[in-house]
Amino acid sequence: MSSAKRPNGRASGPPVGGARNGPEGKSKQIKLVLLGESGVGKSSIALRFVRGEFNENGEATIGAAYLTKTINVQNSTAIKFDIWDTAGQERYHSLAPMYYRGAPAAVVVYDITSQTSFSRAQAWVKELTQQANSQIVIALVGNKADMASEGRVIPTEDGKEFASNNGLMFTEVSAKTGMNVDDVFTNLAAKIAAQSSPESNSTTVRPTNVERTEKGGCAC
Amino acid sequence: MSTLIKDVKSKDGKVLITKEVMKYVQLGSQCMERILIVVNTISKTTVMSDQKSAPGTATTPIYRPPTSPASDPDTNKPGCRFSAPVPPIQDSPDRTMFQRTKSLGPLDLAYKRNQLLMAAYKARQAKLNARNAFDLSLTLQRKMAENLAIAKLQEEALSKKMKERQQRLDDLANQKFGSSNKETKEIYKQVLNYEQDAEWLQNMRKELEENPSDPSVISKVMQAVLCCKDHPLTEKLKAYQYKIYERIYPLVSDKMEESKKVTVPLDKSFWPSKPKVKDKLAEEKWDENSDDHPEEDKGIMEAGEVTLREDKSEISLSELSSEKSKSLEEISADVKEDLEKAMDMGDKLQHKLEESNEKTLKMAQRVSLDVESYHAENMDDLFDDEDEEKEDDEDDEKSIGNQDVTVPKERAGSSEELKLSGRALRSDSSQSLEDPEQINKLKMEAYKRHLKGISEDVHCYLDKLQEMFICAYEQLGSPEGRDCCYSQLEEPFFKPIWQYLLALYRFGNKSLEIQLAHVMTVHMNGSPADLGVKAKLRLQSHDQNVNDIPYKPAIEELRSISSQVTLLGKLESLVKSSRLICRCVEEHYNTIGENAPAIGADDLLPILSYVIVRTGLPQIVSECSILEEFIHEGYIMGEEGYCLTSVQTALKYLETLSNNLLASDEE
Repeated sequence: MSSAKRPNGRASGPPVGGARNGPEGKSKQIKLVLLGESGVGKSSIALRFVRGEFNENGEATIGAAYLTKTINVQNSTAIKFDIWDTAGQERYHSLAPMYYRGAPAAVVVYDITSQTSFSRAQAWVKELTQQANSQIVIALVGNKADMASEGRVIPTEDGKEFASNNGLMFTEVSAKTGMNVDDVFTNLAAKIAAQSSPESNSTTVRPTNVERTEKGGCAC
Repeated sequence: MSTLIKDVKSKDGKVLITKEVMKYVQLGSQCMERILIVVNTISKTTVMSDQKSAPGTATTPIYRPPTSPASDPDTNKPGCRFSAPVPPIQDSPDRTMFQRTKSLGPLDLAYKRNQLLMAAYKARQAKLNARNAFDLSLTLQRKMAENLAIAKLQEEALSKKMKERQQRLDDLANQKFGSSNKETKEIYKQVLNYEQDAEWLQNMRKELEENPSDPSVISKVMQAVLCCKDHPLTEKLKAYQYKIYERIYPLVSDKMEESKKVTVPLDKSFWPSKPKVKDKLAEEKWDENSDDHPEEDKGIMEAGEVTLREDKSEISLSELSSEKSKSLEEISADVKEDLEKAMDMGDKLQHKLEESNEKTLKMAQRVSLDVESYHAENMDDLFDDEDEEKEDDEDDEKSIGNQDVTVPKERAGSSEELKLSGRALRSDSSQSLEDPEQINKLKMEAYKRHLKGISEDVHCYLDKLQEMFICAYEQLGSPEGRDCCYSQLEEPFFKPIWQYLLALYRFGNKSLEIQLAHVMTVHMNGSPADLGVKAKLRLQSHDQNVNDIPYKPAIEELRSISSQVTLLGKLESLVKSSRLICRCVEEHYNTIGENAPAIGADDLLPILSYVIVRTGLPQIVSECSILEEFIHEGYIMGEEGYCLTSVQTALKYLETLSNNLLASDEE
């Protein structure tokens, strides 16, 4: 049946893949998965991005684990993020592939005040590049930049270096102050929009992204 | 009529057979003929009205028991499970189905009219004398002849019209689909044909053409179509559904009870075995028996094993096409004879078996190679080394041999091939050990292959149905239309076969369910703390009077998953349950007047694990794997997919917990 000629000429079967295209060029749905050790503030970052607010005790929400937000990128494409938070605890690790399956974007978060969280983030990046969809765009994010003066353990350069070695986007953010949080997502959206539009290719996109990451480190 | 016959009878013998009498007789016989036709017509219409009068309960003709001896060789085997025919699917009576009433053709109408005439004639004849009766009968005859002639003309005109219509539909279908796909064209034609006689469907089509992307219109159209019991698309759906059912039922009919034993609290005898053997199949009581009392239980064990194994070989036999209806007995006798010498199976053999089941053709080639090399090397030993006491193993060997052998046979189709592979099996069995666990493992693998095959079929049929709907209503071809179409198909397709599908998956997931049931039993009255929920989210009430367990609404919602009958309904339960978890936290903190913490995945998963444990429903494992398998891709990406993934992650964690619990018990 799949070979049946149909007037619309669309391939058979249900829509596939992470990026579900709506009517041409209008909007895109992007599954974004948040990875990182428990307690690094993954869901805080997501909440900050989606709701634009943060307080230390947090705020009661229904499903801070799964959030959506639509943003517009330069060429007037609307990108709708489906943000999937994952559990950082090791005991839930075995089914992580189910979370990042088919996701075109991932944000790997670590805590700049914790060495273990950085190692864990590196492991995540490795796992993603090996097992996830090869087109996946990964952003490495160092959270808790507001605490840099008191407790920084991971120098900005370390994060930056690891990111550029692995072709990741890199930003240091603070979910608490909101610093750079939106940038992480808008940059991801821009990159994905550029990736899928036919006239530009990814090699010309990457340098701008690496440059962009510069401003992440020095904000404090 | 009866008067006439009486007349003839009374005159018989006394009266000479005059011309007149001959005429009477002739007339009588003509009348009889007509009556016969009339009676046929009547009986036909009564059957039709019977069907109409019992909507929803009447099963359609396609639901016949599938086993005719010629096409299904398994029914011939004595003592096999196929001796009982597959019972029809219980049609859910809540869905009102109805059938289109067919208008009568002109000839049918003419028969009906003649029947009325005849009745009138009879009544009048009773009052008249013979002479007048004769005149009357002539009038009647003329009238009936006229009626029939008119009807015939009408019928011809109609059939011409029908032909034209067919031609038109043909042209339409050709125009639409080119000459490439016969099946597509056929279904399209059938649908259009059906619609010619059902105006409301035509109106709906118009509505759909006007609002091609309105989901409510799409749903309306699909529901309308699926409500017509004899609509070609509905019939297709039923046929596919039945095909699936036909495959599942023999696999699960004897296992439904078994799965029901996996409940909470879990009986100790079902507890999973120690972690060190966790990869072996934990649920088999037979194993325990054989470990503890090798001698005295062996008979029982063997008996049990044999029936089980027979099941298995039957299962694989059932896959075979009807071509192999020639004596099964003969084949198994051959195999048995050959295998009598075989003793143990090694890993190598097991590996081979798997391979052969998956790549039949390749195996067939390899087998002949193996046989050749074997013949060259140690043909002689083969028949000498037989050990009487190993007879126990025969059946093991036989069933596995059978299972294996039947597959190549499907292609090769000769008993020669059978013998060859039988020998090949033996040639591999030199350095191995008898291991019932391995057999169970193999059995399970065979079962999982079935599960996989059936799942693939379900997907395939659903896709086909979707395609058919799209070719009948091209507006459904848009992405929205497809989504809508799929979700509309889902309920009528899955609902009647759900319990069987669930049983199939439950059996396939049995060891996982047992692990889960074990954990559920251990933590039956556990608190959130037991499953690693953070202190601030344990929601311990400071009010001692409140006895409610934490997260009760979420637990109840999740429990309802088993009573939901549609995939979407079940998915909805998962989502609601996750939402309720968050709401519980919110409400708890509201009552104590503090700000509630936000719940990310780090917090959600432990709470979810706790909620799952407290439901006490091990079948959630299977429900979720069916959902994962069949739910529409579009849902997997969204919130529903997230909740499903989270629940599955929590389940996975709970399964590993079972091993940890057993390990700590041991110490």
